[in-house]
Amino acid sequence: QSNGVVYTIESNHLEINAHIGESRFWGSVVFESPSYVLHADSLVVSAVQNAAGRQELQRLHAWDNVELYYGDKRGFSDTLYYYHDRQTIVLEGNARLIDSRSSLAAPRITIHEPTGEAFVEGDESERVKVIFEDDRAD
Amino acid sequence: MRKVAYAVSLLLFAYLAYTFYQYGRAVPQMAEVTGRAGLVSTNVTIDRLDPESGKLLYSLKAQRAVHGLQEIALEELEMAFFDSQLQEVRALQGIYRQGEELVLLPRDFTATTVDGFVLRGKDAIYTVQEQRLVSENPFVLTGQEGFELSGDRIEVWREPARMRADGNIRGKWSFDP
Repeated sequence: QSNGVVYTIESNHLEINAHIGESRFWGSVVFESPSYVLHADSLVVSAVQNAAGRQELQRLHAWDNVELYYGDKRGFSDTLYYYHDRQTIVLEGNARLIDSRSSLAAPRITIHEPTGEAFVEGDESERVKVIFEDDRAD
Repeated sequence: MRKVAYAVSLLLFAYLAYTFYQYGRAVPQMAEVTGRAGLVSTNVTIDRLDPESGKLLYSLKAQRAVHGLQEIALEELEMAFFDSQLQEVRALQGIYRQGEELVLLPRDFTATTVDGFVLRGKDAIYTVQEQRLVSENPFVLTGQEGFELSGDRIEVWREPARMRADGNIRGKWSFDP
């Protein structure tokens, strides 16, 4: 019986290269982890074999029609990365993070998976834009 | 009355001779008979050695074999590999074409790899030279720690260890936390 974290993935196509530990999915990809669900046209899953000889997720790289469902938030961007060692999800390029009360827009938004903290970065070409609903407005 | 009987038997004999003549011409020469005609043997082992090193590459075992001109139909096939990743293929039926080094697996097969992955499907072609298995039919691939993958079509290369799958891909991975 496995005590690992279970992820499920659906797609139209898959190519696995066991030597470099990469699995490339494309065509209506749905990647489901215990804490978030990711939709995209393309997704590369990188995994390594750890000292115990078990597969360890290292990184996700998704692009084209990226949509992230994380708690009550929805994220959109051109590209998404997930780094397992830092447990961070990075929405990169036209990034937006929306929930029922606010919306963030920036070139890059980084989410710390365990806590849900979001770190929003602007750059020379685009500033950060935050829209939120003020309680007093009710 | 005797004359009548004699005439009838003469006619009957002529008819039989004519029929046999017609049939004789219709039966093709034995050399042209193809397909499943041929030697049948049981508990068969076919070993394939590397011509240069003499090392055993793979071995085919079957409960029953029908040896045709171009191929050998094997029942209850077990194909064991001795030199790298893929460890064994079992199938209800296999057709081995020695010239092309091809094994057709028209019915259910199970392929087991050295590192514990098990591929189940049917109607596959295994090309020994390319070390490649292709099945245009639904498959299920299972492995350690609850890994499972299914789809409509699969292509597996032993060297380098690579796989492609298409159609209704559904995978379940269990990664270390």
